[in-house]
Amino acid sequence: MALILRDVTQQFGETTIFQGLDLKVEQGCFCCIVGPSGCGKSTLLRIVAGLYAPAGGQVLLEDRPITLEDGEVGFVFQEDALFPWYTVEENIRFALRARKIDTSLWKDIIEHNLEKVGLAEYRKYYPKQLSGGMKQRVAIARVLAYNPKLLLMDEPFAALDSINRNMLQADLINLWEKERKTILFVTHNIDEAVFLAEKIVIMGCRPGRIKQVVELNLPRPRNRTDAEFCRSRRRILEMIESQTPAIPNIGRV
Amino acid sequence: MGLFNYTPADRATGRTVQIHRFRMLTGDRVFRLLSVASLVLIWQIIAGLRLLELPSPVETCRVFVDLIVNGDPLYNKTLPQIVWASLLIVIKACMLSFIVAVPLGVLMGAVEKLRRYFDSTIEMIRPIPPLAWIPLAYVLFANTGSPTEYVQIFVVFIGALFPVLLNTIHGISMVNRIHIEAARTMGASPRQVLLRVMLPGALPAIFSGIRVGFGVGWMCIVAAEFVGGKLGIGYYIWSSYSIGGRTAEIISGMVAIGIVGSLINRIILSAEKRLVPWR
Repeated sequence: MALILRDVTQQFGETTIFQGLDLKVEQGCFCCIVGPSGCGKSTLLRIVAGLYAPAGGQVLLEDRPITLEDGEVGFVFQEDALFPWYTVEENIRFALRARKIDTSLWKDIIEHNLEKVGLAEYRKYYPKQLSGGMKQRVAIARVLAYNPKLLLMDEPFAALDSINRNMLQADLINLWEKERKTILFVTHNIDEAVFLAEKIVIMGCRPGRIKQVVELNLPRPRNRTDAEFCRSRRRILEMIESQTPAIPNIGRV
Repeated sequence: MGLFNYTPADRATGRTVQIHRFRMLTGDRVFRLLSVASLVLIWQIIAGLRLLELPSPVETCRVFVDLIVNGDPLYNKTLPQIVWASLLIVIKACMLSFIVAVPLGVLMGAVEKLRRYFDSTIEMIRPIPPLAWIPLAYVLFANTGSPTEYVQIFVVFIGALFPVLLNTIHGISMVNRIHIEAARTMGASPRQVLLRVMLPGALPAIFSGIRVGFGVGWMCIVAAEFVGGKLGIGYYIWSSYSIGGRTAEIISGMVAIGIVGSLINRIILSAEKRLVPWR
């Protein structure tokens, strides 16, 4: 019971975004995808979500193709994806309504999930009244509300300052340790990947492809200044840098 | 998470900022009034020196107040009654055009095929000034009970239609793609995406369309009443001109048109503030 990508390929017109991606993410695994911009990380995540169909290959969750309708997937975007016309509470209600969850349960679900992200008293606030970090917390609560099996996160903390980012990373790990959802987390921040992931997928460019999959067995809670943490960080960094094409190749598609 | 806990120091700075702003505002208001005062002064000079056949500002003001309080004996109506007759037509016609333009605009903004289907027709009709429809409208509505009213509603309808339609289409097409993707990943149906994401996302643009539409409609009614009918503010100032020697009444009518126009604008703005509280 896991997320499986089988020979997934995507093209836009003549351009190949990525090619022949094979990946298995076990149930309950926290998997980070790192790679330079332009290697198709975000596109891959949208294909896994079912937003786009791939040009070739298969995405399977528990041996079944993923569709938008079945509610197995929660997507957290990099940009502020909360609906500005709804309050925090109404944003979560949108998800519950779309997922056709029994209205008698809404009140408890909303309360419970806002408590999870520490924003219970902000139910009635509009997104514009919240800071960037709080908005992303609400976005996480909004997808957790319908209890998806798989969380897809597209650089969700990239727009935050580093203090907020570290706080949200720690909180996300706490949540994950409690709920053990499978998480596919895209980032280009290596520190973030090493802090969060059990499995790091390193992608290369032009065309996008998976260069390496690293299992990371650092003990938790992880400490960014540990010798072991820094060693892993350097190892990943070296792997990524060895992927970056030499300068004469830049501009060649 | 101390985002909303202001310290006393913050509050103190807030207060000084407010006091400062208050002074700026009063200064600004005096400055603005100065412009009105100079306009009246120039008017007074022109009228006083008999450069143009104009009643003086004071005389006009007296007539204006008299028209509001006692009304015009020639028409047996007060100025507010006369303006209300025009406003009623504009409200009816604008409502009609919003009922047509908003749903059509939402659909055209959301469905590429529909937009392409309607685009060339709209671009053909849109450049025709609403007033150019008046003669044809009289032909079309000749057999109705009250052709004048139908013609006026029709002309205002045409005038208000396009600003609302184009703003709605634009507003829908400018809805943040991320919001639509987010809704879809949460399993929203196309109907939910349309009504709960695209429509609220486009609402600010729709409102500015409604504001412009009402403004255009208000201009159209005045002109439409010049041409026909026995009612309304346009009819009033045009017939006052035909009678002759009633310049103060004409100016009073114009002032009433201006006041009502800016009132409409303000009412829609405040409705927008209430209906779009997230901005």
